[in-house]
Amino acid sequence: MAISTHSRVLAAQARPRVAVSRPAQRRGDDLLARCRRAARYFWLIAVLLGATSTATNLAFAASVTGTDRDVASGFTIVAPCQDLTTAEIAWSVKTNSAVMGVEISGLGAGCNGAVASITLTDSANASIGSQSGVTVASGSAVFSTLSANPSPSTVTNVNVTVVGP
Amino acid sequence: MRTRSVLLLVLGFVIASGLLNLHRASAAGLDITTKKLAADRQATPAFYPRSVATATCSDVLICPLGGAAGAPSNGDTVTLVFNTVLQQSTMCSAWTSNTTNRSATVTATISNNAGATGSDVLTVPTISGVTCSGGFKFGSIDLGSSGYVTSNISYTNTDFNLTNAGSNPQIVLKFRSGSTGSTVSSSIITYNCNGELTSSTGKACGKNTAVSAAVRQF
Repeated sequence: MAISTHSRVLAAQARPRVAVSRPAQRRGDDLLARCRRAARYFWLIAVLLGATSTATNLAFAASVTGTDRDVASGFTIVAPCQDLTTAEIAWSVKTNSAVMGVEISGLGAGCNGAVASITLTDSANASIGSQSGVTVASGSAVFSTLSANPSPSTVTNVNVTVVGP
Repeated sequence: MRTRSVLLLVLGFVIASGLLNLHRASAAGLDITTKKLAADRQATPAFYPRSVATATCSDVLICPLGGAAGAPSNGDTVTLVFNTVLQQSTMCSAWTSNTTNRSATVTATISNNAGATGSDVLTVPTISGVTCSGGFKFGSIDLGSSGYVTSNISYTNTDFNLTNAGSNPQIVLKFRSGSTGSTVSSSIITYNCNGELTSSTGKACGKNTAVSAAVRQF
């Protein structure tokens, strides 16, 4: 009885091996071969991803210094050197046809040393003359080399920017 | 196969190096600052001189042989134009109407090397026939050269005419009694407002100026 049972088991285990056909085995071999070929490139993809990740980390590491100290953060508004609405604009007009220069005065002492820029605009708010990089001194900034010299009648506004000090 | 693998490996490092440099470039362009920023849109000046010009004598009664071109002399004129009507009382307190044109006799003086940069300067210090409390406030004209006079010259009996209407209010000075200055081939003259001059609407002339072309003056 025991022998008979064992024989059935062996028969059952041996049955699949005998049942595999040649085409099916070939398909399996092909699949295995494809997997092996694909596996050869996995290391390359891994290297590329690794290198990219390392580069990114190195870049951030170059600009950020790690520290184990406590960190506190906040937001502070840096007040401008002056409310420019109180500044005065004067200009120099040549023979009624061209604005040759602009002077901003009435700036507070806190603006001395700051860098001022102006843009003259027309009624369409388009720039028709500008100059930048003028250092405020003694409460005023003089712009004498405008990029263009428009007629005073075409100038609607003077946009003023003061950065610093 | 091995050669291709090596090439691919090198390619990987090249890509990685490129990314590394990109990140470094970004870090270099980041500029954190605590500088202050102020900005505003300002209106243009409401009252300003639009032009200043001189002309040599063309009055045959004063200079029958023609003027001394390039040198200030009798008969020469100076014309100043504003962009809008002047508040006349800010020039002379006695002039209370803005609609009246004014004719007067003044003294015009060219002061030797009196400008901020050493140029000669024309002023109108006195006016006759009218009392201006606080003085006559004409302003000044920097002649753009120190060569017009070697000592102060005063032109007494100079004609002063103010036409204060429309969009071209103007003042014309004509020299009548004074010596002839020196010839200057070319200069740029600049009119500076008196600090108290305003338009009829109260807008200050302030630091606005009018400049001439670089030409032979007088």
